[in-house]
Amino acid sequence: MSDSSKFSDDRIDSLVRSYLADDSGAVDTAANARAVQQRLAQSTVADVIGIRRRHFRKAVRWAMSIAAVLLVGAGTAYFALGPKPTSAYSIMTAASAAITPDSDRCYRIEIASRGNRFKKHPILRNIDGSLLWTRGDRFRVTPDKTEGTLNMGQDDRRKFWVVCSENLGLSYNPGEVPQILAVARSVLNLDLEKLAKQFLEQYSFDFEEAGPDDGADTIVLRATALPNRPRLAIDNARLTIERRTNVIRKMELSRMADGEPLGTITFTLVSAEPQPASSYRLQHHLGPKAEILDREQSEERAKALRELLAP
Amino acid sequence: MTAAGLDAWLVDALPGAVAYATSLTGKRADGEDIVQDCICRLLKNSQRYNLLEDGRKLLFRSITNACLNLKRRRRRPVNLSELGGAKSDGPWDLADASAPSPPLELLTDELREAIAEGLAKLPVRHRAAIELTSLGYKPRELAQMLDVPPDHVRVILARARKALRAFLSLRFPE
Repeated sequence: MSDSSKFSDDRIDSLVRSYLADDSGAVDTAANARAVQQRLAQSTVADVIGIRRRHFRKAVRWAMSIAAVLLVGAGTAYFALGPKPTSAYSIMTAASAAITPDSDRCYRIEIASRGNRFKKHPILRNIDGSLLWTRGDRFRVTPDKTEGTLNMGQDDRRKFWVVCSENLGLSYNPGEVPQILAVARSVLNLDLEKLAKQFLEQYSFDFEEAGPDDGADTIVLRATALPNRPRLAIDNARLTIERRTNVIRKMELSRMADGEPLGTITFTLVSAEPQPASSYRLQHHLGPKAEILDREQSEERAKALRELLAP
Repeated sequence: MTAAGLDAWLVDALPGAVAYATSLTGKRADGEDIVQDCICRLLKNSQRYNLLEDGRKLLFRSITNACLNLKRRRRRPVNLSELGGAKSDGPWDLADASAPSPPLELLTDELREAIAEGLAKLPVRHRAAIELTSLGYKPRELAQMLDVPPDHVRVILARARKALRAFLSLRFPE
């Protein structure tokens, strides 16, 4: 039966094998090996030691003897040549560890004007100069001096809200947010803990020279997405980290959408003053008799948003 | 295994593993992600295995599981009936897996595309069975890797070959 066919079992196997071999040739082995090594480096030191200990005890003893000799030399060089060099990755790890998810932080938002698709977004185009307060995945945008910026945010139940006026607010459950607001929410939801974790897992790091705007005593890192990570929302980032405290002072994020560059948005830390938890809720920004439109009034809510965003 | 041995093993195993995982997931990025993850887990536990002897088999088994789980999570059912005539088990036309692998065939672009498309239409377990067989794994090993009884491997493989044959015959009529 099948073997009399033009596509016998043997031929099918041969074709599949050839197809896989063909595709193997297109694999970037070096990039994948680097990615594996990077992932392994992120594992706990104990894991790595555990892998090798059983097989290489003798080698380790020898290595330790040699290392001891080298350490003496290295120690001399250390004190003679200045501070111990630290890898960009370990600095990012320290910056990640310095993030306190329950702390409030305020960032000034800047959007470069040239070649930025943010400028075409009806909400984000006006956001330059606004202040973003964050605490974990909560955030709120405070219109600074910019006209046309929405007063909006996300509360502790991940409800997204927009203030239309002192007497009217719009509230959206996580699954209801219209796309135009969802894009803004995605860009402004600066959950530092998650972001740092994502950087550590999916990006490589290099040092960059600090510029005059980076402040004194800072380290600048460039985070670049590891190869073949097309789904990442951030293609690369320039991170300015305070040397003494490991606090990330500035983030310039190159955002992507549908595989295309969306633009660069910069967040600069301006305050870490504690804020009342209620400031991340819609009610905090409305008058006592204000009306809140939610899913029960979805048509009115949509109409109010259209009016708010109308040019 | 020495560090140099590990590196050599990694460089040797990676391309084929990524090609296999890409074929199962349908996306290079997903394939690479799964392979990197599986290799890391394997290396972290390398003291339990002899990587030189069993590493490749363990890697492909772990990739198969990860791809099956991924497909399960994404819930993208594949309708086998689209391929036509693949419902019957038919006689078990399992080739002798102990025979040496057939030589590589020079693929035309058209044939390569057709194989990719035909494989993509197969349920992921069937795809895994036919690809692992083509790479020289025996039914007993396939049963372990796919976590199915040995007899069922034969059924899966027969269906996979039949469906792929039907697809290719339609694309390349006599």
